[in-house]
Amino acid sequence: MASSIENNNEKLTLKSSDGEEFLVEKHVALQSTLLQNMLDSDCSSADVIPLPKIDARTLALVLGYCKKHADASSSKQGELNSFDSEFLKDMDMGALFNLVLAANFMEIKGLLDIAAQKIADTIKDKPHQEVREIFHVENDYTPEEEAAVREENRWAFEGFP
Amino acid sequence: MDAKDILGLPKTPLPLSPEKKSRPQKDSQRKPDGISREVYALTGGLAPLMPASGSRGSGGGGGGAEGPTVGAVVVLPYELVVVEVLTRLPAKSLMRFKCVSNLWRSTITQDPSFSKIHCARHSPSRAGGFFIIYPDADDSFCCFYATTLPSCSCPGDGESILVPHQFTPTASNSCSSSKCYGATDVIKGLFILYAGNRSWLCNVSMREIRELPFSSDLENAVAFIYCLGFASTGKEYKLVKLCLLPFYSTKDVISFHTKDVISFHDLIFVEEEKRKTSGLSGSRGSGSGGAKGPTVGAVVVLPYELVVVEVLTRLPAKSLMRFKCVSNLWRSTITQDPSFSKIHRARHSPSRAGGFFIIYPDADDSLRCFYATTLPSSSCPGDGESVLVPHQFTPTASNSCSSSSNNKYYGATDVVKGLFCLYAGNRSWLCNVSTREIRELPFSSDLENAVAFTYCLGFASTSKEYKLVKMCLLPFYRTKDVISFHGLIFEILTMGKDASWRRPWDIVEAPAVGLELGRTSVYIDGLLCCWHRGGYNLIVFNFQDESFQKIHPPPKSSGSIYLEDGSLLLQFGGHFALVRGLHRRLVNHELEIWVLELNKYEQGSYEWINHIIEVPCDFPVRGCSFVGSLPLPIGDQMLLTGLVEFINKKSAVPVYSFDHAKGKFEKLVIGNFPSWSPSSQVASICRKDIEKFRVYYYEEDITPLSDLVSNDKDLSLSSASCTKNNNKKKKKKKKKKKKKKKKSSRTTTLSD
Repeated sequence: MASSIENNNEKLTLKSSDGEEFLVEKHVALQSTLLQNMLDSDCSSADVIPLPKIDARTLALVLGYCKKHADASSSKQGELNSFDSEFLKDMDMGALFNLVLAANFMEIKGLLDIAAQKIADTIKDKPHQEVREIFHVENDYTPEEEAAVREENRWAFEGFP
Repeated sequence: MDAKDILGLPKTPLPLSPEKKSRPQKDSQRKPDGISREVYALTGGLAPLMPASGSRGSGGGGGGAEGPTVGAVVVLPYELVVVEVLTRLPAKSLMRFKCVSNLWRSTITQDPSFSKIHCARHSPSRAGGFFIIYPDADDSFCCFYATTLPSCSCPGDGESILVPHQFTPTASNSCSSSKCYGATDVIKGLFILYAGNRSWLCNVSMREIRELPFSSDLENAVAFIYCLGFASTGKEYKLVKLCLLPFYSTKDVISFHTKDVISFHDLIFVEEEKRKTSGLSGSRGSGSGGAKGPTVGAVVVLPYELVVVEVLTRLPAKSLMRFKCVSNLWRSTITQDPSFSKIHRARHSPSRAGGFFIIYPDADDSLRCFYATTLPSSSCPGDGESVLVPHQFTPTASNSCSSSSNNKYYGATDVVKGLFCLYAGNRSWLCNVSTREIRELPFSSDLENAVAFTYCLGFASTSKEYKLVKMCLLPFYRTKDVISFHGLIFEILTMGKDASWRRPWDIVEAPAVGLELGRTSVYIDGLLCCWHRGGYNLIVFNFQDESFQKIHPPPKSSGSIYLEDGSLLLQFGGHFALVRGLHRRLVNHELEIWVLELNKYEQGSYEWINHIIEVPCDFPVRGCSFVGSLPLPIGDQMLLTGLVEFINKKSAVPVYSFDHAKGKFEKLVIGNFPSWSPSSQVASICRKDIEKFRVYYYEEDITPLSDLVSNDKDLSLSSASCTKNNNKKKKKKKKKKKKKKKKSSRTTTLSD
């Protein structure tokens, strides 16, 4: 987090939306296609790269993921899988949303996949009323319309309110 | 003196209902209404109200050409009046002069060239006025006109005269009276008044006002702002509407009132009458969540596109069917977006989710469908029975052509790429296994009397089309004991393309298609293998090019008497195969299987390869039936069950699976199939039913059937030409048929 360490070429400084700075090794940052493209297009690595859409808490998580995946050799797929599931364990919906937003913005496909899959697995067995709240969707059905759609797929609603 | 005096019009005041008064003029001049009047004006003819009406003096009939003669009444030709005089008048006068005559009114209000010239004559430097929008005490707006504002150059002038004007839409333009709480800038003579979701377009100079359409889904939105603009290249006025749609509101608190936690469901940009409704990035595509950023404490909202592409596509079909209830937008994405179902399919490719789908014959001859999430696998046989969930496929009233509510199905095709067909005689239904959607298919009206229907579904992989094949027998004549048939009717329906069934071959021409109906056929990967009439040969039908290939049976094995009746057609490791000798007790517990290897490169060549597999002791030795093939990740499994076990079922039906990887049989107990008809008795399930018992493994596929079934009017319109051609062909064929009928009709005897 200290930006005072001297910048050699192997390190990048990322700045979160709330102003915290993260010093990361270049090969860790390369997990992100966005950062990779920025470095390829000759963005100076000496500069602080601002990530205005990602807060410090999320960015720390993202970088933790990147570090693990950058350091682990490809042969240890099983170990990575267990890291991934442990990584997302007990994470609340807000944090997952932030992760998806960050992974989507920074173009980290692996992280986007596991975070989105985690959201999907979580909502899979939730009643649709709850899903509305999770995604802040306004119910624009009239009660009659909703009942009609329900009736169309009655089998799917067995055991749901 | 007024305009009428000057221009020599009769002084009779023009009525509010113009038709009545203009009638006498019509009589004399024969040119009042509509087009003829305009033509008259354009050709520079005389005004409709020329002296002919007689009340005012004589002469002048010659019109403008005559010139100003002293004493005589001079009448300006109408064209001159319009182009030279009227266009120079201020709007206020013109509005009054609409009352002069019908012709004038139509010129002033409806002639585009008139307004163009008028506009040019009143360009900037010329006349104009000041228009002032002033907020009133009750939050609404008042509009004022002032001809001049006290300019700074002559400040002594004092106040100018402000003339208030209330823009009130006439009853025909508007639903109800209303106050306006906002106004846009005046752009090129037009501006917008608005109050929430409703808006009115106004012309400043003409003081005309008209209500604009409103968006019905924005009834609850707040903070409406409208901005009017003019696209100079396209010469179009465009209105932009911005508003906020609250995502929740309680009785007392509406969430957006607390200013620090502003989290709006959506920020909506609506371009007047050009709302984008396309696909994933629909009108609500841009969520405010992303822009707002994940601030601690604030509610994080995923943009809709991310929700769809990243989250929804990963959900199983069952959850998706429920989540159609979340909102209209979700429903339309899930059910109507082709790219959505494509991504969904990709995410649920083989190794991922899926389930087992079981078709089981009930005692009353009809079929029941069951779902099972897992089958007890041979790897963990201790698992016992799996949970079977019955499902009744019932078409909704809107999907079904006919109203018969009691749907029983007496036949089902194989499950092909997530779809299968149920049928009962001439009627058939297409079903999606994952979404459990069902839709009736068209039926051929001339086959009402046909019997022995058999349907086979296939997928042509090159053209990526589902095709359904229908075979049946059409009785030719019928006595008490004997029915004779024309022969086999063979029809094809290409899903999403054909509006009605095609009959590619006339009965006579039908190639080697003396197909044996009612005996098991097997579908593998675009090919259908069925028995030839008489049961000695096999026919392979190719769904891609709709061709037939005749296959001769494998050579007789040494020592066995050739009796094809005991042969069973099945799928063995992705190939068609025949099992022989099932009528006899198996020797040494060995099953003789002949596998058909079709040569992919050389059309028409094939080869039979013999396999001998060992069967466990309790394998059914008589009346084996093929019930399916499971494309499990570990390797295909061939499923067989025994007739004896099937009929004498006391609890659960045993199924024997052959694991190709291990090369041996395992016994599975699929589960207990409840009979749905209460009157049914175990004994009434008989030999022929066993052929209908099928177990399938299916992959999640949420392809909506609406794309495939052309019941809808718009589809049938687009394929109308296609059906016409078909009809023509049919007619031709019918003629042929009649000629050849006598020769061709074969007789078959059916014992009831």
